Amino acid sequence: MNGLISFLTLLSWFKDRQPQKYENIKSLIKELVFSVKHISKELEELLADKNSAPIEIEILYNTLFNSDEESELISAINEFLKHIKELEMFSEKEIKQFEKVLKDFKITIALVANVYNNLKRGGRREYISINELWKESE
Amino acid sequence: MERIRIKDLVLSKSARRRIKKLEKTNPLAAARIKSWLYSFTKIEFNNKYLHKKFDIKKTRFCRRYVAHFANHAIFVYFDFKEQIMFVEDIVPA
Repeated sequence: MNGLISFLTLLSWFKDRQPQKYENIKSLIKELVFSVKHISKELEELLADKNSAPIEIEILYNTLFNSDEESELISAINEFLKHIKELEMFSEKEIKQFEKVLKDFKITIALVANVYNNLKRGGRREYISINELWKESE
Repeated sequence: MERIRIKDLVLSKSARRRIKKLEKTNPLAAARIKSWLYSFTKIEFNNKYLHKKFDIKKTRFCRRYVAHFANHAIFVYFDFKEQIMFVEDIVPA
């Protein structure tokens, strides 16, 4: 993650020296963020398909969560958004578009966890009332 | 437009575990999520309101209502007939 921050900071420095190349890199970053939309769509189709193999979902879960329930990818996306805002490389409108695309992507990643957990439990779950949770917290 | 009233709000063990964990690591987020969930039992709402609050995602199991709140994805299933809201999962997002 630090590498990406250094790269983005270096890019700001590059701006005055090579304006045209700087603009090209900016377009590439934009294209990269928007391509995430297609990944989200593909993933959602896989998760909705009853015929998709559970092993495929398990591999996907392990790749995204790396055996830890907190996804490093999500932390990286949050850091990316934070720094891209600080560096003021993109307009407010573009940042809003990035936020929307990346928020949808983060939800899709969470959906992978949800489907994987359901597969692991065979769809069975035990529930408790929220009133009990309130009592426990008091 | 038909109005919906939730009589009972229940959480899965994993959702409860996540809130318990958040109460230690990020109490503000835990309190925000709990109040947000609880608010659904206090009001009458229609389908339009529900669609404003949640995205609908289709999974291989069934349709899930997903909300992005306090940096978490909250997965909910509604039993409209029994007027129960099931909180299935709360995942950092």
